[in-house]
Amino acid sequence: MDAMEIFRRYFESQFEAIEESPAPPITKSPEIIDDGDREDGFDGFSSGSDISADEEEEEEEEQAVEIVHHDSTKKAPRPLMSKQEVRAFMSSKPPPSGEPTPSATKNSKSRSKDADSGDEKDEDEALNLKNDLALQRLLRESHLLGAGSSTLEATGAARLKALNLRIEALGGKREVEKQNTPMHIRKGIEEKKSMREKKRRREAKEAGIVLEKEVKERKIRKRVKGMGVVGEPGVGRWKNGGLVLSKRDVASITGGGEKRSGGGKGRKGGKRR
Amino acid sequence: MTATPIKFSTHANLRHRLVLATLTGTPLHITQIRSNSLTPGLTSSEFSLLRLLDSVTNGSFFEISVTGTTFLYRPGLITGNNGKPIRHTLPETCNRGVTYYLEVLALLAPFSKSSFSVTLDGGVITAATDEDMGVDTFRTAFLPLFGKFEIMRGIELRILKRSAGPHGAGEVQFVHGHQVRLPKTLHLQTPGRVKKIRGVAYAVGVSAGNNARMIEAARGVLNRFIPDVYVFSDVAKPQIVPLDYGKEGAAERAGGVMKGRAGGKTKKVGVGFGMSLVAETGTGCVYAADATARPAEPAEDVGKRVAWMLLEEIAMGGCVGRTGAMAVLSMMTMSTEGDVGRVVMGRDIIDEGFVSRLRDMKMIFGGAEVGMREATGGKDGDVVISVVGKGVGNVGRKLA
Repeated sequence: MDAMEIFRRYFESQFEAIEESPAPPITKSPEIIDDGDREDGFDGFSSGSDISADEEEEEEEEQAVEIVHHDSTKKAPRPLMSKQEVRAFMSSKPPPSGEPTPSATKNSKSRSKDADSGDEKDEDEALNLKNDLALQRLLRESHLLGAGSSTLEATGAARLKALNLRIEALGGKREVEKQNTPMHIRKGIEEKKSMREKKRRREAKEAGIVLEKEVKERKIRKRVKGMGVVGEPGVGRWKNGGLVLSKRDVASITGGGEKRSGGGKGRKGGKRR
Repeated sequence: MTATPIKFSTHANLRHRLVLATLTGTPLHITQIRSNSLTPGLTSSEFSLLRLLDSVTNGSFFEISVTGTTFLYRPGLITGNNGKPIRHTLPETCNRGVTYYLEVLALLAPFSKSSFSVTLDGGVITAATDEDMGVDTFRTAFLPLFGKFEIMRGIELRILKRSAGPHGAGEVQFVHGHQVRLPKTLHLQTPGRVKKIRGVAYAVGVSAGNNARMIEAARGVLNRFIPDVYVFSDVAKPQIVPLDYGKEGAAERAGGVMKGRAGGKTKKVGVGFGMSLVAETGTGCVYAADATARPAEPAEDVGKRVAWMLLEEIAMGGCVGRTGAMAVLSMMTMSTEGDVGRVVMGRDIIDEGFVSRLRDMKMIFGGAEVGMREATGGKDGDVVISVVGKGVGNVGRKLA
């Protein structure tokens, strides 16, 4: 039993029972509030605590009304907000509402990602490959798509042409060569074709359009054997007053022509690729 | 377009009537606009609204009387300038906040033929005024309402320059990229409990300390009820404008040239501070309050005032606060024909102005049906408002 309880018993026997008042609100200075609330009969209690009698007398003399602000700001800790949440609220978009907190969504997202990350990756890979292929094709065949066509898919004659191009790229024969066109017409066609191609490239360059890479036809210099140019030897070449024979030349003299031509073909093919 | 125009008188609910008329394509004939006032006719801010409506629609027709007390409006198709950005300059003397225009745009944009991008400049007041909310409240409390109708993609409000009243010189850009045929039918019946309070305190041309003081005071009031209170602080520079900025007729005399006006003398405009608070419930319902400092009002008082305003708004209850009540009801009327949407609102929201706006809606939509009954369960005094959709939807999208 503490001293307060003894005092309280004594007081209650003298006067009447004290009502239990609720605990005063949490403040910085409980002494000041106690002073205002209690009657003089209670002085004994407060003096039981650490306030000295002198201090109390002073305060009574002043009789000033103390205004105590109950400010809960200092008590409550500032809520912490994630950077994500801050950005979501302060961006120019309306903040997302009615959704779980960003941290929760992030967790669930990452969890689900872990579960099927493999599948997702594979799917992405496949999609990327598909898109790559489509882009390559488009670049190769874009010249077939006229200015008027709105879609990226070739139709009609352009589609057939694109198909021919693809077949050709895979090693098929050109359809044009099947026909038996007279020489002068064929030459005219070829000439016109190269002219058109040159024009297209020039215009694209001027307009700053990136075209597909030009496949340059390698000029195969046919060596006229025997008496082609006056002073030229039929085989090898003159250098510093001597006839220089390359390995190929030697092979052409010693070995069969088939072997040479076969090797030549192979090399040609390799370079083109 | 030979339909006989619907007749209204006075400038009451002018903006609401214009929006509804534009959405439904109904012609309006409004008479006796401030006919007994010393400054009769439409105000400069109302004229600017008509111009804005003209620029976001195609084929609108206005016939305004010489005094401006009477006008005829035949709305055109809402096209949003075919997706091209629009720049609309408000008059310097504009005394309404910029949300006066933004609310109109936000209601028209979902039903536009193409996406919206409107930059508002000139006499733009981004802070809250006595009649209009601030841009922060608009962004954080008004725009999320459209998410309930599943209109949520590509909506942005960029605050380029902040400015307080009485004469603003700010700049905002409103982008709306989510156009729909018909909004979803709304069923919003559980208000839920307030889980968090967010806000923005802004100071234009005054010390950032004002923001801190406002926030402290507001948190002092609100922390007693809920710990999750977070208010952001935004400090902006004031705008430098000619000395005669905002004076009647000064802009006309200068002929629209800002440089070298008033003999090159300048002043700062739009100086002030204020705060916007938004309370969000667990079910995603939003209550908002905002205010700007009155002349010589200390920052603490502003903070407390806004916090009390927010508490009052929360006490009203319902799923939609006063800020967006009319917008939600208009959107519900626009939704699928014959579908009944329901929304719970606080009883205090329903007042004289509310009912008169519903009557306008009924006239312009040609019989919009709105029913009210006591909400069963939930808070006492809540009212369930049922609205029958008229299926007006997006005229431009119907053809496409």
